[in-house]
Amino acid sequence: MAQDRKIQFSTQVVPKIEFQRAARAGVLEEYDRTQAAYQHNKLHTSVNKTLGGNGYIDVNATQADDSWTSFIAPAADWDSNLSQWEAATDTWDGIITISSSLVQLTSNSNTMAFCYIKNTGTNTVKVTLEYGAGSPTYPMKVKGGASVQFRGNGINTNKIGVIRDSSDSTIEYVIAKT
Amino acid sequence: MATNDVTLTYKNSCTPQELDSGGTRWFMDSDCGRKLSGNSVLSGEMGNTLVYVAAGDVTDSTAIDLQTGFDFFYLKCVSGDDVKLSFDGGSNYLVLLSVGEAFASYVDSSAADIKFLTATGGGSSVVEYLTVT
Repeated sequence: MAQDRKIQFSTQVVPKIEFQRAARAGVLEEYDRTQAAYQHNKLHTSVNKTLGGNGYIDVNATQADDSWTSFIAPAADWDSNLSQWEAATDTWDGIITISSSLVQLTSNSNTMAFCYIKNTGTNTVKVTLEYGAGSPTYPMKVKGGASVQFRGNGINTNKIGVIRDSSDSTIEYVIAKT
Repeated sequence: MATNDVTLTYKNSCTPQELDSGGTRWFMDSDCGRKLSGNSVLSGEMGNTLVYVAAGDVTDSTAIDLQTGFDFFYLKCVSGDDVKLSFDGGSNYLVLLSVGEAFASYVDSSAADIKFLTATGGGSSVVEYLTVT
């Protein structure tokens, strides 16, 4: 059992806009410095800076069970893995396959402190905060390689679900209770 | 890409940590074993209308309602009290941000109104937000 747990997290956003640099004349006596027009990205002129934030959150030292992450730690060895293999919900490589059926990240109903989901595949997946609802909405989309994270505000851990957008993909996740 | 097209690069990362049994040092959590991070570039899959507000004021009774139809959404609690965020038009505020924290996500078209306001009764906050449509 862990003594204590916390999660540090950060978000960064770089907004850019496509910009055309005009052609530039520059013929000198001995050589030509003329530049043709070209396209490039620069920081978006409405923002003019990068955006972001960071924080940390204390989470419960004793999580409900191993399903609070999709991982089995790299340091774990077979003998020290106390899970009943046939009852374990985590996967050896920490990768969960996401298809057309909505996947509930954990069935444990605890007040959620923090959730992190990364799309480790190549196809977009969608995240719902209302697993079990008749017609859940999926406000967040996660492209291949991207991740999404958020602190909970009165939401339970069993309400988080993930489904594919159009083709199967894979995810890894952390979902911690308060 | 054409002139004035918008591109967004964004990254969300976290590091689960665990205190040792002596209560003196924090290590990477032994259940995860590493830092976690994902990033993405959004360009062609988004619109090109970017709206950025550097300092928006919210209270517990005055929400900012961004309506629907966004491709990307970013929100930061710059100062004041905690801010709570709704993706269903204000029926449920399920995401919380404290001062200095930010949220960023590619948004699905099925999301209802994005609304946010302070989580504390009588509180007020300054937020920074960005949308791309």
